[in-house]
Amino acid sequence: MFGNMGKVLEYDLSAAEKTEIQLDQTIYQQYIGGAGLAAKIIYDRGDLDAQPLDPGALLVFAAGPCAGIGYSGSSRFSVCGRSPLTGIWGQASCGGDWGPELKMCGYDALVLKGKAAAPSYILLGDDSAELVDASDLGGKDTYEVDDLLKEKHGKQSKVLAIGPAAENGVLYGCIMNDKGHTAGRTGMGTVMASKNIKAIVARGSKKLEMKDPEKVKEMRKEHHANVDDNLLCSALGPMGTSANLESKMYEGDVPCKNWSSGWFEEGTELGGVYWLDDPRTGRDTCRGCIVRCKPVVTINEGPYAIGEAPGPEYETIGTFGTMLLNSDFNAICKANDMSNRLGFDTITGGSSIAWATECFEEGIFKPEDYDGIKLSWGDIDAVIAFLPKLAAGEGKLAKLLAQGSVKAAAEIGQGTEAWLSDSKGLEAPMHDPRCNWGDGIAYAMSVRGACHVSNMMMWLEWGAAEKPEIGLDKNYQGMSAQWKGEAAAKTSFLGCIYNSACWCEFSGIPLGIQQWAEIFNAVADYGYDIDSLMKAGARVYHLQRALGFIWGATAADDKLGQRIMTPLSDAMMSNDSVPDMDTMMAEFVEWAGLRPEDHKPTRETLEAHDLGYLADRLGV
Amino acid sequence: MPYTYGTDEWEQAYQQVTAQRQADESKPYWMGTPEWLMLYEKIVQGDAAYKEAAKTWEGSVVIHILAKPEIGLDEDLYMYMDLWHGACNFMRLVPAEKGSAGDFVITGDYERWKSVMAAELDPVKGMMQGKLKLKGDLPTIVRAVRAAQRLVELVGEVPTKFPDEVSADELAEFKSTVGALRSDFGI
Repeated sequence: MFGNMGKVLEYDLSAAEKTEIQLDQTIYQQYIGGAGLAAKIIYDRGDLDAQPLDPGALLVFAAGPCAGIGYSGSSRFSVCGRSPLTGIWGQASCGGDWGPELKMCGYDALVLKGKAAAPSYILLGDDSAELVDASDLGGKDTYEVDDLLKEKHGKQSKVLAIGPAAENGVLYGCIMNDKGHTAGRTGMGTVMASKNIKAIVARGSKKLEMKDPEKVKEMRKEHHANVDDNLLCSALGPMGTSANLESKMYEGDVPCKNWSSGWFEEGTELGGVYWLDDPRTGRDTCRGCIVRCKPVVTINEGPYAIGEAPGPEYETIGTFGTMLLNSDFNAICKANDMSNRLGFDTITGGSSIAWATECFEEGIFKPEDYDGIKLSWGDIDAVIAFLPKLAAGEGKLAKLLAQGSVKAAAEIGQGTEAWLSDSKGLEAPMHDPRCNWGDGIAYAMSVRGACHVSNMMMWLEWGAAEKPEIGLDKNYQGMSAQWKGEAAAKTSFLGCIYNSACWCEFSGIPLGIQQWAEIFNAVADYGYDIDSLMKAGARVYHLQRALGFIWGATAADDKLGQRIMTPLSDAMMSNDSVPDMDTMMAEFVEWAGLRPEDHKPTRETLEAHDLGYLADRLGV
Repeated sequence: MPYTYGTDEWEQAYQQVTAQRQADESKPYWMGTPEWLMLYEKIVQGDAAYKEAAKTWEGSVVIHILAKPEIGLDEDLYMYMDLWHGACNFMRLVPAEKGSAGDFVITGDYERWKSVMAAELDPVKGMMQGKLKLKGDLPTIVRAVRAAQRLVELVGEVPTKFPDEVSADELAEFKSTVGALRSDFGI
């Protein structure tokens, strides 16, 4: 088999039994790999009645067909299961080096089921997996675990680790890879903790075979030239993912003060251009990527000293910066470092803290009821002091926020539900649909809840990408519903290709879909053209949404949190604007082949995508 | 006898030609002519939104239109804008050596620039999509996106006669105009 290794390792942790599953090429062609392959595995082999943290729930780590081939942006991996935060499809994408290493161990995916009898970690080698005692790692932070396991198994080993947050039941525990890379969203780290697995170490030496190595080499040259030539990629490298923060705040894209404000003047200087050399001291990257967007920062002195460490991404700068009215960049670096070590998603974590801050500011929460804690706008020190408590589940506020903002608001009531910015229980990323309406429909119809990387809608509305070969070449205006339903449907299918192929959207921006299909063909012999590649993306979308329906989601959940649907009054360009969800939804439903009454795919849609096996299960 | 760019003679002659053509030609002016550029300069100079957005801007910006001989652009055209702290000091058609050495050079073919001038293409989107190429210090331009956007938005306010939309006789007139300007000013 080309591109893929042709087998998946299923590890039943309860029984301490390993099974190698051989997969047919057709499965790879149909579901691509990564999150698509994981969805198929979970549907076929999982106990779909299991709750997210039950032993019967599956947790799948899967790489894509192009992992390790040296293409910029092609070597991410996905971690998938049922989310303990949202209860529906959970999916986290991660960069770094672990994805290629998994394949070099001989596997396209690792499937965990059951629960280890004692705290353990998994040691993956060539065609091998071993459960190792991890009783000495319990409670340690992810960076400590990384150091200890690299010391034991060699610096070249690639380590996934969870931190105390996941171990202590924070529902949005993340998984860290080699310190600087995060499988952040939907609580996959917490699922890993529920299986008594603290870490997974991979070190393989198997060779990746490609269908047409010469063509792969030739196309890599072309791809890298396009990435090099792309303005956005050129900006993301030296300035990081926050390169555009300042200009986007002018547009109203950056949420401030728990989404209640569209402007935070001091926050404009949190953009990557303002810390090019200080405290940034370097750039990290994922395997083979020439964009090199990951900042390394060094802060040796002061209250926020962290030494040399991975720096914050745009999302974290938003949640610990503009969302809290904090403009101290070093403090954000500290909060980021702590979150990474403690092991929780900074979007859900930071957003939940911003929601709680509003509760304090509005008098819903009183310090005397919450162990003396008082969160206030701009007081980042109080947040930094709270983070270890949050991860430890120490105190009333920590226990409340460990559930995420949506469950917390449901528990508190008193109108605080109006301050939520989620879809389906997943807090929205730091891009405001009130200035780019397409983000609104894309968030609401995403496979995992509010998410900007389950689709390419944001890039389309920004004008950073266009895909004329599938009709995505209109002059999209941010605060307009025109063409957005169609665009959101198509970009959601594209998003499924990204997360299944485990490609990074940054490097994918300058990539044509025909060119992409040819890369899949040269690497993995998929036989794609534009139509069949897009069809594979749609297939994955419908399967992942189907799992959401099976796990209890309904059309009524395809909406945005109330705060996002409340107009702003202090934004520079997006006041009095809320997305026209009805217009966009009707168009989305039609383009995606869904039933208007319940947003499930029609039987015809399922059959057209070789998903007829879902029809009876979904009752369509 | 061509004038040498950078000399007082070149500058005086350029201003005289511009004034004469403003008096002789009726609006809309031909795209890319001195009188068209002078009108653009006045619009930018009078725009409060640009002044505010560009108050920290330092450096020249050049609109670089690639050659298209069939519409009279036998060679590339460079429109040089001298910009400083919200002020537009001047705009000139300049020789290639001067234009390509601008602090920020935005390059595109005629059709792309026409789309921008017709307000059909957002210039920042155009640059991100690679339809327009930017040469210059990226961190500086990232901090000045609003100013850059406003600057190029304003070009859409200049009433423009495009050489690909006119009769053969009118096109011949445009070609002759461009030819004379190139001959005299080395642009």
